[in-house]
Amino acid sequence: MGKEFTSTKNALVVNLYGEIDQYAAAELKGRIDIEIGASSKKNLIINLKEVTLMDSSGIGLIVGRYKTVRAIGGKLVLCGAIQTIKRMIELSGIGKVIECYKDVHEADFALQDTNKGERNEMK
Amino acid sequence: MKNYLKAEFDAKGINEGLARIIASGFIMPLDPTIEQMADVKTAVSEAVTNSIIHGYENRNGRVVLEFEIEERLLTIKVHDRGIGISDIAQARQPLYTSKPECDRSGMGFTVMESFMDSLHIISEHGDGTTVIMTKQF
Repeated sequence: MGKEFTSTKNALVVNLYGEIDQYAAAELKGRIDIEIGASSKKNLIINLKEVTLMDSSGIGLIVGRYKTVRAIGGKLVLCGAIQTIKRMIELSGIGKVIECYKDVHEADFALQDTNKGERNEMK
Repeated sequence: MKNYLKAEFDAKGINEGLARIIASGFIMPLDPTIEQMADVKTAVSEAVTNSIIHGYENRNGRVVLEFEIEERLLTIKVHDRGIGISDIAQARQPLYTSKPECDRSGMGFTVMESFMDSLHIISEHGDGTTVIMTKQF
């Protein structure tokens, strides 16, 4: 298991692992929000490559972070979802508003034009 | 083939993973595909989550899981003695959640319905909830 949080040129990356259910999501939510608050990046990539199962609590987690990131003028994208996770994303309809890329590299590339990824602090 | 399993556990989030392991172990003799395995585990996860956070509202209680295989038909019952659902039709609506403040997606029953072949909900306000799902293998 690698690091939970990493970053790219344009975004903070959260690397999720294993099975994302209500129990896992409740814990992750707080950790991700703290990391978003502490990061100089305003965009967030949720890397699902190592996620083996995700129920609707995972969808709730993603939608919640989507709102958090959007509130600071950033963009949230997903990447790395395996087929069974993709089905959940499609079923929930979040795929219509949140883009899903093959890997972190592609996701980062897609975010490169979004305000250079740096947060505009209030002047 | 005919087989039956009953398990009862505390309504705690930490037991959701246990419920999925029980489910996956029980359906192994049906030789499920990766997709079928994910369907069943996810549906069980949704039902158990509902019992814990909606039925018991994170308070003490027990969740009862029952699995039955008859021929190649799997029946799963998830039962709690929690607060029950006063409006089942509303609860079944995609995106409806009674707890919008908790990052709930409101997709639980929709997921169960989509990933299993049938979904039946028996509940009355104040009298617990039983969810019965079937899937043909």
